[in-house]
Amino acid sequence: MKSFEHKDATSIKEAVKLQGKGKTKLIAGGTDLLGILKDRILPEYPETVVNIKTIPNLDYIKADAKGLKIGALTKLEDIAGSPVIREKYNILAEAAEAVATPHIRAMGTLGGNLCQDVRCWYYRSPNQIGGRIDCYLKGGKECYAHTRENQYHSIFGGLRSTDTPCQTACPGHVVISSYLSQIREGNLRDAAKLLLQNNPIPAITGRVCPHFCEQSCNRGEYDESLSIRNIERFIGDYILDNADELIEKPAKNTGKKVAIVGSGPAGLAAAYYLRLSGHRVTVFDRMEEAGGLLRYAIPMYRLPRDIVRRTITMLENIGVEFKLKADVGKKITLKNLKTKYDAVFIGSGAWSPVSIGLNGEKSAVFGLEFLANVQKGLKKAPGKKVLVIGGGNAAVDVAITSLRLGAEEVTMACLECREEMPALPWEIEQAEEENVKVMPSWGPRKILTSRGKVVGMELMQCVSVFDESGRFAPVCDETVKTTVEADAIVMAVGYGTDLKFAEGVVKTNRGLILANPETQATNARGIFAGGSVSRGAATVIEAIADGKKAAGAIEAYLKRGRKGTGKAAGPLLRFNAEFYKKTHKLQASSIPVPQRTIDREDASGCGLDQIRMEADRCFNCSCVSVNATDAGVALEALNAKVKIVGPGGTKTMPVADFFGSFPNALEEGDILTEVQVPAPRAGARQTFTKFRLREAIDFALVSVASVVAVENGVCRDARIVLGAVAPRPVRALAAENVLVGKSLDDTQAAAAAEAALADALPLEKNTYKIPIAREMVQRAIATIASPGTSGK
Amino acid sequence: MPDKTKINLTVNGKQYELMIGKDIAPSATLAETLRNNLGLLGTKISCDRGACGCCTVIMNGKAVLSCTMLTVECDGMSVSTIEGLEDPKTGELDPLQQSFIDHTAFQCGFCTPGIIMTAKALLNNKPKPTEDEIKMALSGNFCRCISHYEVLKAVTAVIEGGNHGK
Repeated sequence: MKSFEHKDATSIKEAVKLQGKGKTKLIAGGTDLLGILKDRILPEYPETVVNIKTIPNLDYIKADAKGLKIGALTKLEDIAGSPVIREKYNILAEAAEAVATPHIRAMGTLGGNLCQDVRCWYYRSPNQIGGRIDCYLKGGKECYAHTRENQYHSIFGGLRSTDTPCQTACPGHVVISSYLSQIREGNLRDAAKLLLQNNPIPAITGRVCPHFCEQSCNRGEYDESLSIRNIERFIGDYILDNADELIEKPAKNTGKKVAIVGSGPAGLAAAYYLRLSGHRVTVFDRMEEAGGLLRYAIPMYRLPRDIVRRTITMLENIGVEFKLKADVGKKITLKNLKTKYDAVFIGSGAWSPVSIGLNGEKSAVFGLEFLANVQKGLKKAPGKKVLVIGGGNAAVDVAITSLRLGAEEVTMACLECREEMPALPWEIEQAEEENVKVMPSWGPRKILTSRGKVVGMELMQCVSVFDESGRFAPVCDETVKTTVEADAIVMAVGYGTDLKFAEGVVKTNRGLILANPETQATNARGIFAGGSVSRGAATVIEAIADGKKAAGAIEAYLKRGRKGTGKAAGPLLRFNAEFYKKTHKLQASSIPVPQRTIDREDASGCGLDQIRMEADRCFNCSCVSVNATDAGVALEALNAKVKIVGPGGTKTMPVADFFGSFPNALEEGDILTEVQVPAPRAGARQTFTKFRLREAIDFALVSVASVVAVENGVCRDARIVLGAVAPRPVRALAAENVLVGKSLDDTQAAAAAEAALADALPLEKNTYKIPIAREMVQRAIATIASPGTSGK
Repeated sequence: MPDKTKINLTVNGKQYELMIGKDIAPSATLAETLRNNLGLLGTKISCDRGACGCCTVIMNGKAVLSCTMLTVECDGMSVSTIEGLEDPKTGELDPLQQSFIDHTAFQCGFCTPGIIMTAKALLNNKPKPTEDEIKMALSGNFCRCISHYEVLKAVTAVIEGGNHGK
């Protein structure tokens, strides 16, 4: 075993403190941990192992009329042998006795049984046998059990162990898998609400976002990634159609005022979230219409004007005020705003040309200006033969727009080689499909003129664009040259900011406003900034993310408080039972090339049936291991609570909540110290059974614990919990509902068993667990109905 | 608590002092220490994951798995291994050991020290266990040669003979 530092904790407080220092692991019984360390299966090997057996007074069983208190360090053997537990809480004794072997029970503790690490053969694959398997849980991309060997895994869905790859890849951290789950349940309303939590303008991003999420979708490794774009677009449109119902105006106004400079995606996002918090939000924009680049840069064939306008209306309807033709830096100054408002957010974007130092550069058209002019009504290409310099998305937009406005020939030249071009691959493909000539690896050398008019450009071969450290440092070979004829040259090589309005108020650096990446706060108190103005050329979703982050920070700044965190308990995550069947990605249709125009949207959306089928393809990436605790199953049936001490103090929570988040509710530094079991009500009968292949050492394939209160043969109360069927013990609520109020007999037992498994969601290779679990529930209830007979 | 620099361990009645970091690493298991530091090779390491029982020793009266505990956490403990069962003066085997020989309760013998130590702990705590209790106590000791039937006979014979040794 690789070594570590070893420390004996003498108090809970000390153990909590020690855990806060670097990579640590607690050791109690050691029966789980030492194997894990020997096999090196943890993503991070601990530097320090903290022994908590040296903490006094954590090994006790105290019983009174109200219930039972058990110290977390109590050995399983002592619980199994305790007369008071055997008499009144017998299923806890039986569960403890069912753990592994007598040797392990003599060493292992109750706390350890509850906090044991994940049992999955992929997760636990020993490092020394062919290397560690980096499953999804360990920072890898994939849950191997989901699509491969899953005989011992969950039959009730998964629990989110980390953020999904799609969510992680999304700059806005949209909870994609969760909203897709709602779509599968047929619940568009909740899907929309989940989406709005991180992205207030999905109708727009559904059309223009590069969807980094799709590139990291696990399904992509399996067959083809999901078309999150099309789903998002559908839900985005649904939100615009139902905005009044979906987005509730803030119930109360806080009386605080926030000014927002710029109505692009960053400003809109900040405005939305701040307004929902009840602040008075005013958005200033220099243009005639709101939307920033959404309105004045992205062509209408990609983003219809109507969608932008309706998005702005949606914001107006919740009370966001827009002041247009209001150029901050002229009549209104940033200083004014700072004094008049409680906080300011700057999302003014990047709209200025960037010079590349070419002779005669002024005779070229600036790409963004051309796009803005088209958006304002210009219906004329810049020339007959247009040369676009640049390889990004704006360059593609300029090229396609020029063609559609009647240019005869459009060429795009850029320094980058094809693979390095910043435009998205499918946008470049579209440009070529529409007859744009793409010339990668060519740098501008000289603008050619004749009689004062542009006639073309001399280009030179670009050998490399970035140096070894990845910095932009183009190297060209001036001996390899070519000439492109053109009567118009459009520069789309980058955009700068105009920060005159900010000078002397906030700190800037190299043309960007300096903002803290965690909070978007600038150096000036109460002024925040985000989007292209602070991060340089950004995608829409990055700008949204900044706006949302800033809104959170402004909220904290205005309230002078901080929001609490904590691991939230959630339900088990479900997926389509046939998710593993190979399928194709949803493709939306688009208008044939000859019929495309500048103001009609190219791509059509998808229908509800289509997006539901697409949502069915989502793995809902989660961990589908089973929690192997035996004691936890009995304790949940007994309605027990656990006491947890951590850096944030002491808290008590029901066992059900403890297992509600993955793999349990413990957060960094937390220690489970005590288990509290209320006395079962009079007349309550209990059963615990564990099904496994060998009577010793094996983990359960299925276990069932039940506590049923029976009066005169009628069930008054029931708690039935299934173990080893999911990443957490599973309460069979439907079975309990069948029983309560009924007289218990074999028919009811069968009905309860049926109900307990009605929701089962087996994986490809573990359907066999369902009849076993059903039979076990049936026998448990039959035993309770006629005590004295054996349920085994 | 200041960090420990050494631990004291009593094995088969003999006192040992082990320097942490010098004699033993903080990550050393008791099984490794018994074998590598103290030369007590009777304790076997088989699965090394607490699943097979081959490494069973008796610590403070209980049968425990020496592969699954850290030596640094055994400070002040008293441990008995298979080597400690015979009479140190006469060299006479423990009745349980003798009974295993008499009943040929092993084949390859690799798991036998663990089985005997588990049985010994059982009989120390409960001189007259039932057959079910013997089976339960030994359910954590695995034998690939299927010696279990003979083991049961050997243990039962000791109980019936009433001679548990010390």
